[in-house]
Amino acid sequence: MPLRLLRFGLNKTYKEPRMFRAPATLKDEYDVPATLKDEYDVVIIGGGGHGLAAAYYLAKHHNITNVAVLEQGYIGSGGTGRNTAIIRSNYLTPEGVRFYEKSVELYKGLSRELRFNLFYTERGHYTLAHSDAALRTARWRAEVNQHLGVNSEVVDPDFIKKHNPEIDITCGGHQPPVMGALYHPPGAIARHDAVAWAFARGADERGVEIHQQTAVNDIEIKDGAVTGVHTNRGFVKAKKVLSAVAGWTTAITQMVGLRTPLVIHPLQAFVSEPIKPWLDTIIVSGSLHIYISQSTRGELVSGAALDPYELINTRSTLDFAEGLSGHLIDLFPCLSGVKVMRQWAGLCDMTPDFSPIMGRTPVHGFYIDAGWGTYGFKATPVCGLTMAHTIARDEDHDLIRAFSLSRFERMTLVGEKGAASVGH
Amino acid sequence: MADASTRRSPIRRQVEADHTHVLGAADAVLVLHLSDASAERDAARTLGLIDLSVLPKLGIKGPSAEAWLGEQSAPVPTDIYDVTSFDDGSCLVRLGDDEFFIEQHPAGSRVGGLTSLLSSPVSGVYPVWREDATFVLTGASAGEVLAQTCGVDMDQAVLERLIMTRVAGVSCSILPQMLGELSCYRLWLDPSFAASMWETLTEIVVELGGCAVGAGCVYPELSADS
Amino acid sequence: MKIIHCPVNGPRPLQEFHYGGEVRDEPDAGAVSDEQWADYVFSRSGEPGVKVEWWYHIASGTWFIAERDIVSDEFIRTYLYTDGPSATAGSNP
Repeated sequence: MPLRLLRFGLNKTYKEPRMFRAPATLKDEYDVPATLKDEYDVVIIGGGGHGLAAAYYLAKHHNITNVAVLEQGYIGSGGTGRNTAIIRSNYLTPEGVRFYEKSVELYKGLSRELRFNLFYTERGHYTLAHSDAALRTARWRAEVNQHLGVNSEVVDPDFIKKHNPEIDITCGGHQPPVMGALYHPPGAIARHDAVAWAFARGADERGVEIHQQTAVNDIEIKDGAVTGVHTNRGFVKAKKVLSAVAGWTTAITQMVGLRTPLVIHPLQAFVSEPIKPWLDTIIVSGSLHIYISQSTRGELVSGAALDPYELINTRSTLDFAEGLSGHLIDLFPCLSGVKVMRQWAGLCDMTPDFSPIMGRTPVHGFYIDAGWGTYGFKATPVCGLTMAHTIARDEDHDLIRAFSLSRFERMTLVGEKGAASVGH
Repeated sequence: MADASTRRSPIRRQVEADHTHVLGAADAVLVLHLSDASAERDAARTLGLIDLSVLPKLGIKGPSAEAWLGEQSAPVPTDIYDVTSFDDGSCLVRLGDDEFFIEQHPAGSRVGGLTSLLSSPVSGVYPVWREDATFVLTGASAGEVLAQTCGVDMDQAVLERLIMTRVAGVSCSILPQMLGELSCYRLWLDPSFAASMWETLTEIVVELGGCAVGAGCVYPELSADS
Repeated sequence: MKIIHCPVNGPRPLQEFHYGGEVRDEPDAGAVSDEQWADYVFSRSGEPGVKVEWWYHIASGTWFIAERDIVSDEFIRTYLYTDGPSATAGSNP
């Protein structure tokens, strides 16, 4: 037995911070650093994957290390820990495809770069089409994807059945039958918590401070520029502030007096009890509002469409569990005896065109990384990369220029029908 | 519009498939009995399901609708969702300030009469083509069927007052009423949902020991053999 | 089951309703600037708090107004648009 393990085994308290260093004086079990500095070069609101990745790339690529990540709960407790962990780049718009393709490229090397096993596994991603309209969108996406070098094609029901033998192509007669699918072989899943932990450790090693249990109550603005943030632990000066809080974005933008098209809807998901490895692909059906994959622990991870009305609350409903189970059984009758183990909700900040809102804002020094709706997890590394660039140079990164908040004023929306939970 | 001789029930094929021996050429008119009349009347006392979709219907809307109905000596209900009967037994439902719904009694003629009056325009009165399916749940266990399929507590429901709600996921208007001595729930719904609704209701009715029966169970006066 | 008080039909389960979004007044398209028009078209009051919203009772075709706390999901009051807030139909527990 390794000596280190024995040492921990015999101790009543955990002797080390789990993922990142805490300053010398520990305040409590959450490793809250005893004090906040008076001033940081950059304050990042939100200790999810996006915020932590931005901090990591700020330090790594731009040598900006006087950075604080402020997280009101614990890291990865928001959307990062609540999504269904799917990573893919078979989107519809050229802007979206390029952006997500960069993210997939970064993800592939991330375990090695961060020395942290993210359990990134390529599974093959099927977006099922149950109607002519859905099949048409699938073809459209396949064309755009192939044009941009993304491995993606339309396959017929025989192909789907051959690679997913348990699927019921006819949906038991309860739903329109599967007519084909958009097949995206590089579609992958990863361990989502680990993404937050790994970026946190990477940022921490480069000198970034991560403050959990630290909520931002207000943002100070003078002459149209950010001067600092008020937290539950006092005021901190900063000329650059990034909001990377997904479902809480509307509360933050209110602090700086910015109006956005964002509305928050919950999106619910559940996992089944763990069963033997059985489903090695990722199956998505827009018509049935489901997506399902099997995690490395054997649990079936499944989610549905957005809840039908605006709500900033992570409550769960029986309606959802019933509806999703019904549709799952239409597609996989063999699951009728499998039990649901756990159910939860995440908050989705939705934009009208299903593309994110990223980059600089009319408030100088206030940067936004929001509108992550149902696609935030798969964009985590590229968001960190591009937002770090944007903050360091005060200039929107090329990959996110199309996602600027000002696109609404200019009426140049980026209609992303390839997003999860979008009906066709 | 709403000519009794051309109306077809949206579920006639389903009913025919189950009861070919009694239907024959009678699909344009009300089916009085699907099997033995007295056995059906007994069944209806416990739990029966009747298709009355062929009954002619008419919607009337417009700022002058109420006044115009008054002129036709209609017993205009005062409150929204109240229901009254014409002299021929046809029922008149108030759906809103300026909106009414009429379903003709099997032996009545009111809808035909009002429809022909409205065939030339009347200022402020607009006829609305209604093709609703009409199903009736009869008998002591009828409430149980709705308890399984509907979010409204029918034990609290008031007779002859309309309830607009959802039954088995489909928007329906429900009218709790007495037809003869039978306590019934009359369901009106969009005819495009009629086939699946009939299937769902039949399944539950059979599960609870009931069956589909003919219109003669609630309109005995129409039966030659009664 | 979540119950909403419809001003016309009384308390009904959530499943009988459709959400119609925030109540917003359309500005005079000819009089406002492009920015103001874009703000009307796209921007929403998504911040936490009580919002005035359109809701629709599907079975009866009734559009009405609900004042709802979008954090606690509590319906504070509901009324018909033409009646105004004084004609409150009831609140939900």
